[in-house]
Amino acid sequence: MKAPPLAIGAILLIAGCQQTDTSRSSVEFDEFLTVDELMHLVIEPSADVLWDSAGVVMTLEGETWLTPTTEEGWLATESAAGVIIESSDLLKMPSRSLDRAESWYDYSSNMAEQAKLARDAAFNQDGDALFEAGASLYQSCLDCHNEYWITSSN
Amino acid sequence: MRAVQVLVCLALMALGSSALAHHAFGAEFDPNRPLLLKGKVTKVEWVNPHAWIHLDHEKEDGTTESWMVEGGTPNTLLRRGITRNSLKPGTEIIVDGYQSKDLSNRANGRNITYDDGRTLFMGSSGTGAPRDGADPTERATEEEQQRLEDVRDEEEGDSEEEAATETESESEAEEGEEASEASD
Repeated sequence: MKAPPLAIGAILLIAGCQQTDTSRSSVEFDEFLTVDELMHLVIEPSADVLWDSAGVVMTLEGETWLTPTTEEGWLATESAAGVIIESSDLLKMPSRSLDRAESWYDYSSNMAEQAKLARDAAFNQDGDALFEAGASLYQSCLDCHNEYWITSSN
Repeated sequence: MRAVQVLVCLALMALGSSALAHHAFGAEFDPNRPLLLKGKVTKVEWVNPHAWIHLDHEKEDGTTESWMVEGGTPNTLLRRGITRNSLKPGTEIIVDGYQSKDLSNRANGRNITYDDGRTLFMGSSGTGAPRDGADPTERATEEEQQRLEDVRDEEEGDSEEEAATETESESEAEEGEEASEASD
C-alpha cells in the first residue's frame, strides 16, 4: 500500500523537528545509571560475552574451543559488541563526563573502535579475529582505568 | 543497610568468577600475601582478558592442593615467550605471585619458571599490582621495594619463629621422653 503524500509530508515535518530538537543544547537526558553502574550492569557483562566467546580451555582430556558454534551464539556476540559500541556515547553524556579531562572522550571512543572490530569478527563468524578484538578491547579498558580508576589501593 | 550490603555481596558472588576476572589487582589480590606454587599444570584457560593456569601445588607434606593462577592476556604472554604449547597440562612449573584477599586458592601470577630454568613474567602490566621488579616494563619505587622486603622479612621471621617453636617443642618432648625412660 502506498503512503498518502500528506502522511509522508507529516513524517518529514516531524523528522525535521526532531532533528532540530536533538541539536538543542537545552535537551535533557535522564542518565539513570552512574558510571560505576553503567560499567557493572551494561559494559562489563557485554565484554564478558565477547571474552567468553573466544579462546580455548586445555585439560588432560583435551581442548575445548569457546568460539560460538551456532547462529544464535554469533548473534549474541554481535549484540554484545553493539552494546559496547553504543555505550561509548553513554559514557560521554554530560553527567558522566562533566568533570573529566579530554582523554575521557578519547578512551570512550577507543573502546567503541575496538568493539567495532569485535562486531565485525562476530558478523564474519571469525573466531581468531574475535579473540584479537577481545584482547584489544581489554587494552582499551586498561588504558582508561589506569587514568580514571585503578590505584594500588583499590 | 547491613542487609543491603549482604545482598550486594551475594549478587556479586552470583555473577561468578568471570565478573571478577578483570578487576584491578587490589580489588581481588593481597600484595601482602606473596606465595610460591610448584607443581603440574592441570588446566589452562587461554582466554581474554586473562589466561588462567590451574596447577596441583605440591606441599611439603607430599600432598597436593589445587590452585588457579591469573596471568596476563594471552597476547601479552605470547610476546613474553609463554605459549599454549609451553603450558600443556602435565607441564611442571613454579609460579610466584600473590594470594587472593578471600584466602581462596586463587593467585595473581608474577613469574613462571619452567623445568629448563627459564623464568618469564606472566602477570599484567598496569593493573595496580605491586611494583616488585617482576614486570620488566615497570620499576619498583624505593618505597614499594622496601615495603615488599619488609613483608618478606616479616614472613621469614614468622617461619623462623615457627621452626624455633617446633624445635623447642621437639626438644622438650625428647627431654620428657628421656626423663620418662630414666624414671622407668
